[in-house]
Amino acid sequence: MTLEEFVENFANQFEDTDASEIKAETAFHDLDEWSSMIVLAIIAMANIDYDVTLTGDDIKNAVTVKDLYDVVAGRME
Amino acid sequence: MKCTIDNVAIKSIITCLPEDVREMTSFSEIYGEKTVEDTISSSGIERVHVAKEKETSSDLCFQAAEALIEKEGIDKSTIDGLIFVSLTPDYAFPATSVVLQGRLGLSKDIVAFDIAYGCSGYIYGVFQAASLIGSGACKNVLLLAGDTNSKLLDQNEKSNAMVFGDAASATLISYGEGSLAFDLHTNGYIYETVINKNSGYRCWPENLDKSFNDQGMKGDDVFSFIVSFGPKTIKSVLELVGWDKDEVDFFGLHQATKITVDFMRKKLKLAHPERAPFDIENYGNTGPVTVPLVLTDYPHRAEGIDTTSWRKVVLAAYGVGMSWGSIACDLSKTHIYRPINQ
Repeated sequence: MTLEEFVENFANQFEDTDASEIKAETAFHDLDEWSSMIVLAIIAMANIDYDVTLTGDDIKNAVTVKDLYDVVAGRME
Repeated sequence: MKCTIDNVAIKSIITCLPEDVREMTSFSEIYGEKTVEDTISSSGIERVHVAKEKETSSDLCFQAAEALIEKEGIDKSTIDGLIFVSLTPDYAFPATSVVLQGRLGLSKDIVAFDIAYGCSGYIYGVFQAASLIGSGACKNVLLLAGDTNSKLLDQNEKSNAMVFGDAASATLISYGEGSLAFDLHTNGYIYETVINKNSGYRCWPENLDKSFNDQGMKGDDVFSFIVSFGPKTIKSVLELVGWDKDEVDFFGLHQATKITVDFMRKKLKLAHPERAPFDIENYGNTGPVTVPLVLTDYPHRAEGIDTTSWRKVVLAAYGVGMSWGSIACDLSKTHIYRPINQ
């Protein structure tokens, strides 16, 4: 898993937000489309693509997409 | 826990929906059109059935039970077990199963009890019924699973009002040819993930003036729990019976939201994802009823479904407890009736 792949996968969970708006340093909680349903989509994506289970707190505590990537990468090791 | 119980069969199933329907678009005035559209798009739920003010889970179960007894021509005196699965009983006591035994006019030589489980409740109810039959205690167990979530959950919360619906079911499980395989689990280490502290005695007397439906549900953590354990219990029960996932004729999966069912289909890498349908566009998450509801609704709504070909069926559900499990069974001879008020 590279950071670029993860950011792309993360961005794919959004429907209305243009993928170019989401970068590694994006504070994703501030995105207009961010919602409780996107949280579930991110949890599903992490499990299916990386076999890592994220909790609600993992996502709450992460500020940027890179923060979340670090959590997932840490659990894959 | 894994086990197979022989000489037991799911004979017949029916479900019952309340007459009143609430359209999700009716929430636009409260939450705004865009939010409502987005929620419907993610949850897949367009409307739910809602019980009337004085209509309880046991009322809906009673309707389902009477309909099943009539359609199947069941001699009431042959029913020797009654299990009521619900988080919305009539009273704190006596058990609602006991109330239903009298109301249905069943024999007094009957074992009746309640199981206070939610979404995973149908799996546990079938297990309990099969255990009663496997032990020789009973021959015909009526399993009544139902919930009125509209009364249980705070309707001012969007995540409740726009996801959960009310429904009930009646299933007859009898001694006979066949076997049921079970894979069941419990995780009380995280019991606070879905909890109602206002209806018991742990928080007494502080909870006396609190609303019954003011409760905690950590939605993100419930979903994390499902993604962690849902696929595993299915793999485990498949291993127990020696079936390949792609030879399963039908998956009756717990229907929480579309995202949950989609996740399970993807994670299991099903060659025939249409055999694990999402089926609650018109009903929402009905707790312990989602599994019998998908079994009864889908074949009567989708085209070309012949349940007499359902020789290999997997049922799976997960929820409050936390508790989860799955069943491998043959439903090809099961009488599956159209939901009442479908």
